[in-house]
Amino acid sequence: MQTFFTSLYSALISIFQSQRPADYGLYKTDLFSLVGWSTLGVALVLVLAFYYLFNSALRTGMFRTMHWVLTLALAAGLGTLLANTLSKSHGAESSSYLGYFMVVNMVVAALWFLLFSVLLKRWSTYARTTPFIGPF
Amino acid sequence: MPISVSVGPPASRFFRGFRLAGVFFGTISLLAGCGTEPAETTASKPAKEIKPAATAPASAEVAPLRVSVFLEYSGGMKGFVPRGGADKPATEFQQRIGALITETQVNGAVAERKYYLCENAAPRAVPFQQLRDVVQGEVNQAALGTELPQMLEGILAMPQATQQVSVVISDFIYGPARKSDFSQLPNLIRTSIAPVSQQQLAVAVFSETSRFYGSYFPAVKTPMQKRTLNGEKVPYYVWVIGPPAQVARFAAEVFKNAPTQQAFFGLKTSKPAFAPLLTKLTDPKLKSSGGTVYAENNGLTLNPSDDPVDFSVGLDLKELPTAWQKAAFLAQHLQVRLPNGQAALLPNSVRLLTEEEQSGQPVLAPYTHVLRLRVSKLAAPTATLSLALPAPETPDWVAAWSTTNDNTPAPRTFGLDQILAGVRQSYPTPLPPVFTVQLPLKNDR
Repeated sequence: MQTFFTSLYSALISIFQSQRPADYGLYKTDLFSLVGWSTLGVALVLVLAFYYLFNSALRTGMFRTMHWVLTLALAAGLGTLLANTLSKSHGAESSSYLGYFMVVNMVVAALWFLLFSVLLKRWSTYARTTPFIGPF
Repeated sequence: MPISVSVGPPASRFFRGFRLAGVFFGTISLLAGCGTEPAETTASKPAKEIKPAATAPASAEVAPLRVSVFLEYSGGMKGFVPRGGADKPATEFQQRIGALITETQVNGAVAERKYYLCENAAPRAVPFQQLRDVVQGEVNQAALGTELPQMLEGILAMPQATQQVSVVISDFIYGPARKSDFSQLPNLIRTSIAPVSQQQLAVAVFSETSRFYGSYFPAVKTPMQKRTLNGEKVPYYVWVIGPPAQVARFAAEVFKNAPTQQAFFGLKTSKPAFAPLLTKLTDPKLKSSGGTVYAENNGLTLNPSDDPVDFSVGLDLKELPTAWQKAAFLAQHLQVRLPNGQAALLPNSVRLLTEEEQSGQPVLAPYTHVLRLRVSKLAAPTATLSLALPAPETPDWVAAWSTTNDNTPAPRTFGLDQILAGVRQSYPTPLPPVFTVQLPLKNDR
């Protein structure tokens, strides 16, 4: 899975910047998989919370697309934040590479959120058609 | 009340969901697979931060120095150690050698010290106080002295002489009983220091001129057998003989205020701490520039295909003699080799780290010097960069301090070039490098 995250992130970041920074070794060994897993986890938790806590266990009425979009924005924002704080706390230096990593992780967080939504909305009580009907 | 439309999903829809998910995951991993990163099959976790190539110096440093100081005390040396007084300043010899033996006596790097007077072939052990008395001129009698090769032979024949540091202080004036011996001077010296050749010991030669009061016995006896000098300057020498790393350490840590004329033969240091410096640097001039370069697996991964890659490396050269620690010397002598590629030391990039930099930046703390390397080509997937300090040949001052006729006292010594040629011949040509450090490189393609 580490290889997967490393490939995913370095490929996506290389769209913006092909030159790797001096602390790329740190990204490769630690940061990509750490940030990757945490982002995945955060997206999953938010999806579970949206569909099964607020729209199954509780009846909050927050099943509209706008609510879903706001939660997706929260996931994306947390993705950016995670990339920044985890990298810094593990000794990465501020660099343009870190900036692009944050941008990429924002997109990745949103993608995870979308993916988990599509996969899991089916079993939600009140929000099974949020943000769209189908595909299953 | 919510109306549940279906109690349980039909099995077919359920599995279709999984299929869709599979397609989604597949697309993402496919997209990621197109990246520049070659997929690793093993999940070996590389070391987090690059370790200095050698942590050995720390353990090597524990090996204590055992030092024996030999002072030739013959009639010819007596003029260096006049009995002074408040109105007569000490000679250069008395100042330098007095400081050297005191440092040897008190320095923490020296675990064991012994002192000897060389009056004839067998050195005589004396306590420190007696040696100091001799240096300050508090002795009347001087022996006849012994011939230079015999003296060196006697010193190296001492028990354990090849495992410890021998410091020989003498004027190194060669006065053989048989005149024919002059023709074989280099060979005689080489023979007398045979253990140096056999066990590749190092010899460090320091020289200085000192005021001289008393009888001076030149090697060339015509027109004068001896002269009485009254403060003219003549040379004396300190030779340090022993295992290479110990000689280097003695020169760097004990004989700290050595004279400027120095020559080293067969000197080797233990492998110095060495590592590329890439991250956590505040000085922009130290940061890497050019293409991709990052630390991985105790080496560097880099890609010099578009731009040459410049990066800084740190070296701990505190074991080198002071003269060799100078940036200009290192810049001139350090050699960078990269088979299957091209690497060079950037001009004017060698410098000493200031105390402030060492204490202010933890990443610089283990090193005394930084320098910058440029890798401009790397043809193979992996290569090993090596950085070496080849041993310099006999320095130029030796010729200037040599003479074929020393009958008139001058700051020259009879046949010094021949004596040191004998030392030089104890080593292979070219001289083995003082140190070599290596850095594995990987091409980031």
